[in-house]
Amino acid sequence: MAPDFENFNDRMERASLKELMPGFDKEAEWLQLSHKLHPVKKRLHLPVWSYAAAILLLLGTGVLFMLPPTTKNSDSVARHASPPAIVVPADTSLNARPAMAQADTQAKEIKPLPNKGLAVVKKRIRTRKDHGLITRYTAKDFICNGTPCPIQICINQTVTCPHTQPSTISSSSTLEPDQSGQLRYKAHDKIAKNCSLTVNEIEITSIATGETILLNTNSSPSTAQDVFNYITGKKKGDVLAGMFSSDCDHQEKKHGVRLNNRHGDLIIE
Amino acid sequence: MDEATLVKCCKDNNPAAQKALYDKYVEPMMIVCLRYVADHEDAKEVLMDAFLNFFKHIGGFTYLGDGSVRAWLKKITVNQCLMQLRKRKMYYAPGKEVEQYEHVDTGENALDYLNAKEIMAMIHTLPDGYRTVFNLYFFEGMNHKEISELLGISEGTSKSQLHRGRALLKGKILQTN
Repeated sequence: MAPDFENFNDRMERASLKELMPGFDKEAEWLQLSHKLHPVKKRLHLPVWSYAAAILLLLGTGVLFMLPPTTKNSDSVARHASPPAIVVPADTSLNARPAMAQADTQAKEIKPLPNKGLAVVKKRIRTRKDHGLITRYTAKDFICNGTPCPIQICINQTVTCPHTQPSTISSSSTLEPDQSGQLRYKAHDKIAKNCSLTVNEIEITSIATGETILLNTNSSPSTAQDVFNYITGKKKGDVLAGMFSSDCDHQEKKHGVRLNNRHGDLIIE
Repeated sequence: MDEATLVKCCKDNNPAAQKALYDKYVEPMMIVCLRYVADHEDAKEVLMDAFLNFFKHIGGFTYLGDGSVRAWLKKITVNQCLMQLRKRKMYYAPGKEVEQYEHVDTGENALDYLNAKEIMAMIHTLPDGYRTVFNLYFFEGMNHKEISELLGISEGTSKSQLHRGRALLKGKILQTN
């Protein structure tokens, strides 16, 4: 070691840090070092169920935004299920011989009529209990039941949204004779922007007899969409939905069922 | 608690033992850092990394008696300082200003009057290359072969850096006196 600087080391060894670096805070430095040596794990470990709950909550909120508000005192029902597998058009011909429906029949049966091969749907009357699902109502158009019989109208619609399975909504309304009541269905303006709404079926049932006029895409003289256009007011005038073969007193007396909005209010005649 | 026990406890990651060793050696190691790295903030960063490495690798350390912990920690600290200097691309420049002090004899007395703070200030005036070799030679007691291997330079470069560093320091000391 060179003699001129050899004692530098000794002097530096004896030096005080306070002299060389007065602002050095060894405790503060230790705190930093300690945190690095023993890091505190700040991440919260949430249980798996909490993530699932959060996802469900988000999905539920999304669905609520897509649905309209519910009504407590409504007698209609809605359901998210596949529509009934009825593919035969209802007996809507004025000349056809109508058939009686059996109220206690669970399954739907389709029998060709003797004349003109028309079909009659025999089925049990659908009531609110039969649907038994969540009640979610939509548009509330008033309809006047101008017939002497109580009538139930069920409108089955399908909402189709991108990247999701189509869902079916069934809204049923019971109309007392000679009274106005609410007719409920899903309105176009009540669905999400990217979704489409189609009417699959309309069932018009005489509650007393159990007869049902089933309208779908193939029914005649009117399809479900035709009748729906009059219900919503898209078309003005009247349309023949079909035929009931008997009155409420089960007397054989054919009469047509017509929806009329010619004078503004919707009337079933 | 003696140092051997502290080392043993540090191997078990005991915070109290770590703190005790830190308290014992933080000041001398900071002085080491300041000799190599002039910037105080950089020096503190180097010190932190040195202690981290020390505690991280203490499991492989064998206690060999008094002074062994200090020597090992100092070695780690010096290496950490050199790493810091390498990050800054330490340059071994031949300084022209050295030429005028090549044959200056400062005499023993001039150096004897310098205190630690003045010595540190003088060292800090040296370029990185001079300062590093000067530190390794005079303070760490290495020879030129060891320095050249450590820094990845030739022995000739090590010698010239030291020679010029000494000459430069002598000239500065002469000027201050």
